[in-house]
Amino acid sequence: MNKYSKIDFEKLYREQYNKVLRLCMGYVQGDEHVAKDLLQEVFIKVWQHWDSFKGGSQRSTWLYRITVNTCLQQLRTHQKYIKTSIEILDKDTTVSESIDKEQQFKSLYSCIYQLTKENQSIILLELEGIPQKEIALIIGIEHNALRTRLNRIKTQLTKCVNNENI
Amino acid sequence: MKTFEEIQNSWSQNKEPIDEALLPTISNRVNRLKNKNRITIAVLIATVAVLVAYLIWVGYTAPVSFYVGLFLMVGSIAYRVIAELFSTQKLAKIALDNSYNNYKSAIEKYYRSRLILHKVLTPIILVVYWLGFIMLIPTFKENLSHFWFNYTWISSIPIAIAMLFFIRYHIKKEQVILDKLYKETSIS
Repeated sequence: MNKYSKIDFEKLYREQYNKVLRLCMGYVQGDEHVAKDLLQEVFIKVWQHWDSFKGGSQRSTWLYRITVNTCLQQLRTHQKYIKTSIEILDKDTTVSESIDKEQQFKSLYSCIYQLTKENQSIILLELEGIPQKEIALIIGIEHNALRTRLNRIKTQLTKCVNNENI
Repeated sequence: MKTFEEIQNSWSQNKEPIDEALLPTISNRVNRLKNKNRITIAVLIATVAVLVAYLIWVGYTAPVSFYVGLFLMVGSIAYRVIAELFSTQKLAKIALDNSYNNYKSAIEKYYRSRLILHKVLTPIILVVYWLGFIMLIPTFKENLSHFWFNYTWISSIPIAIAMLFFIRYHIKKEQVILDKLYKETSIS
């Protein structure tokens, strides 16, 4: 990596830090410490593969593909990322406006965790506001198929967050 | 009742201060990984060179069975190490900027090939290794003291058991990864 690439890398890191961190947190039920470990792995891969970017898509799309693949691969291969106690909220608890922000996020992460890994990736990218065409490219499915699936996942997630069964 | 838009809105408001200290850490880790690869290759080349030199030197003074036995032991280990290096290279070559589905398919294929390596190739290599060891025993008996001869063959038993556990551990580990891959697209 040359001097100019290093500057671009650092720019990308600062611009995308929060998006990448939130994506990683989505895979690990909001565990910030673990998510930061994953974020580090993501940017190591980005550095290592910097020159392989062919420019066919936006650099950010390229980064999100690496983020999704790196996070999931780390979760598959490293036992340390697997939570021993899955904190699924008690279904009898009423999720209301009065519950604080932290509790709401806990509920959201718990609902995301109940989805398949593929659907987790789709909804996390949607939550980040990434255009659906880009999400389809990141996941590797047709745009129309993604739209249909996304509507279903959104409904499932909203129901779950409002404490209804998925 | 929260709508998806409200969920999305609160999601994007979850911001952390950028961890600037991580940038030099990333740079250092990339450099460490590069050095680690170089050291691994250097150690492997040096080990093979020493073993080949030893094999040639011993070959002139020992019986043919010793020469063949040592060759089988060294050769089987060298073959396994090379197979492992190729396998690691294969994993590194899978493009991380592939779509999730393409990457997942490539990873599945990779782990299936790893299982074949552990279930078929590694046991064959171990049989060849231990065959080589058995061929060395007469020479050991002839040249080593009673104590060292007993020490050599008795210590080979826990080594053999450890090797079996090593294979079992890797088969289990990679089967778990494959199972996780299969489950990723099925409804949880």
